[in-house]
Amino acid sequence: MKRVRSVAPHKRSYGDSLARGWLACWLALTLVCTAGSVGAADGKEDVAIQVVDIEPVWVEDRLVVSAQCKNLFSRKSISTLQSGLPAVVQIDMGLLEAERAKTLFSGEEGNFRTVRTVRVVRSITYNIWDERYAIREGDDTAIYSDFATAEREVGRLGEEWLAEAAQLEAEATYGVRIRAQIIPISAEQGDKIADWLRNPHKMGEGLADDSGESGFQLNVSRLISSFWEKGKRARNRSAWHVSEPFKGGPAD
Amino acid sequence: MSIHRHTQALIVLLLLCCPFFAVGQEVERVRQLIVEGIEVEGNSKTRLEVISRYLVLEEGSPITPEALLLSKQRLIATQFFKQADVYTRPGSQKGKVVVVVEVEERKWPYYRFEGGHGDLDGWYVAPVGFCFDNFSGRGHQLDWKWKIGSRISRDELHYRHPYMMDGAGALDVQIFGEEQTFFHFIDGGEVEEMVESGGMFAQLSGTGGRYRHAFVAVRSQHYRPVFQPLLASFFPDDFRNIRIAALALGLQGDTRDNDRYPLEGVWGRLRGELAVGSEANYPKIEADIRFYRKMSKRNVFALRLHGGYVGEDAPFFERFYLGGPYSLRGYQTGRLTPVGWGTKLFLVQSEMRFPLSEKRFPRHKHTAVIYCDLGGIWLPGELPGPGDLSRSLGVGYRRRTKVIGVLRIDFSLPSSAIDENDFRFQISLGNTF
Repeated sequence: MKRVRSVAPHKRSYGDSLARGWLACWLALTLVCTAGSVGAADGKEDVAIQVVDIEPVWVEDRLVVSAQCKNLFSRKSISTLQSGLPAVVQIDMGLLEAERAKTLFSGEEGNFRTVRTVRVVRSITYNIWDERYAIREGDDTAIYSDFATAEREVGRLGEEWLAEAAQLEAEATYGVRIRAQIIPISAEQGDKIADWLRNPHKMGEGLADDSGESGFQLNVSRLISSFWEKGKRARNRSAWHVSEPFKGGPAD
Repeated sequence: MSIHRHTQALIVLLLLCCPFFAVGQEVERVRQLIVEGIEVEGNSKTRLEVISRYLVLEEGSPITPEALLLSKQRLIATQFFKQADVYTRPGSQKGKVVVVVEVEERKWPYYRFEGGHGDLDGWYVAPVGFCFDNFSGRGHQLDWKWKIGSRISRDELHYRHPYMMDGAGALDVQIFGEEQTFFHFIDGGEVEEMVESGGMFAQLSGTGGRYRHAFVAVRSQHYRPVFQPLLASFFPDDFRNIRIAALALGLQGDTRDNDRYPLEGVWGRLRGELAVGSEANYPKIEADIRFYRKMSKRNVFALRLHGGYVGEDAPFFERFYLGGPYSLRGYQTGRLTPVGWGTKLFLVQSEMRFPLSEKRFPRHKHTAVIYCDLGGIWLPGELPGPGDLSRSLGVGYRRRTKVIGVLRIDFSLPSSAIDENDFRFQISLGNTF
């Protein structure tokens, strides 16, 4: 099929002239915008969430894990909680099989296989009339009168079941990793309101409209600053904490 | 008599119980947490009423964790702020809470990258885009972008007032200049024609209240087709500068349950435009209605009816085309368009959509579709008839990705093998409709 363009070869196209004119401006403005986004970042006064004392233990033929999450609640989370609104603590555990134990436990990721994952979800509520804290996990509820005890208990893993001995290979090396986070509402509740977020500034995919096209938008400044400030922003979620390595069967 | 006594006893019992029910309800009502006040911190230029627009809470209303999260996410989505947080502190008495909104304002414009695909524009990117949103602290948006693609080069300054008439409307104003390459299929060959244009577009759209389904727009655009000797022999009148001033009125509605993967509902738009007082006077009317119906738990039947009419005085670039991934699939973009482009358009598209994954439905990743499209296009003076309609059948796959949204792959079997193509493979972005 033949193609004929109407632009004469000597003619400088509109796009070319624009490109030359704006290229320098683009580079300069991009640098300024990105630097502006990154440079004004503030620090957080709260300490990051930590998971300590991770102890995988064999109880008969069952692998159970104990651990303690610390600094779960930020200043704002405590304030919201003590207003009477609930918070959800979500603790993710993963049983990892090291392909090379050395890399797994030296903090490098990638050389392991996730054998099993378990998620513990608990909600904590402060009853402002009774002035007591209630921690709910499934159908179980525990009541505490002071915040320090409630915070400790909501972040405590006491022999949580992770795997059966039959699921593991006796000679393989394993580790357990744990991450804790505070979420204002559970994932199920979040899914329900996800589509309510229809706003005039929507960034992302769009339905093809009657102009017969579809596209996407990306806030590059935010993307760059989120990479730059990685870690600072994730106050409500801990990093993965990994246990000491252990063998895949109960010690005799 | 016995039934009568039982009825009386039941009524007495209910009356006796009513106070207890009332007390129970009162206790429940009192135990709801109520917003006592809203405090905003960190806003040096953004007005309080601008922040309030995006909160789904107000003084005296009950508060829920969902409302807090939604308010925070709506504030972040404005792009006015680098950071936004919404939390509470205890109020002056039990059961009352004070909502604290903490924002960190964006001091610099932000840089936006855009990309996409369209029938007329082809594949394009907007590598240069700067947004000066909330520049005055009143929530107005201002952005400038340069878009370049296989068929288009355009720069555009766009202003938006998202909250006019107490939230009942939004105003959009665009000033733009562009070069667009249009296509003509003459004797089996594709001939490209470049048209330069520039102008202004303003639209007032209802966003709430009684006018939420209506919009009114004005457009003034100056076209300058670049001379093309081959085409000049076909349309000698097309190579003149034309200024078009048009007024458009429209209605639109949306009852879809969600806009990512609609299961039920209707989306529709009816738009009428009248080019008046310009060098080309003509009417144009276009209707686009899309129906979605859930056929089982996740499978959806989607139907689109699209039709239009434009007066014969309209230049070709104001007329209709047919064929392409966003039009009648299975044909090259515009391949069914007659020489001079059509003034009457009819298009029906139907799809059965089958999600291939359940995780995060309806925001799942993989979807398969089976579709059937039917359409026709006619020149001025031609009478539409069923024999003029072209058809295509096909299957497609949709993959939702994080950055570019939905990637679409379609394999179609057109009813008429134009250009000796028995099938067509098309890649594009977004859902067809």
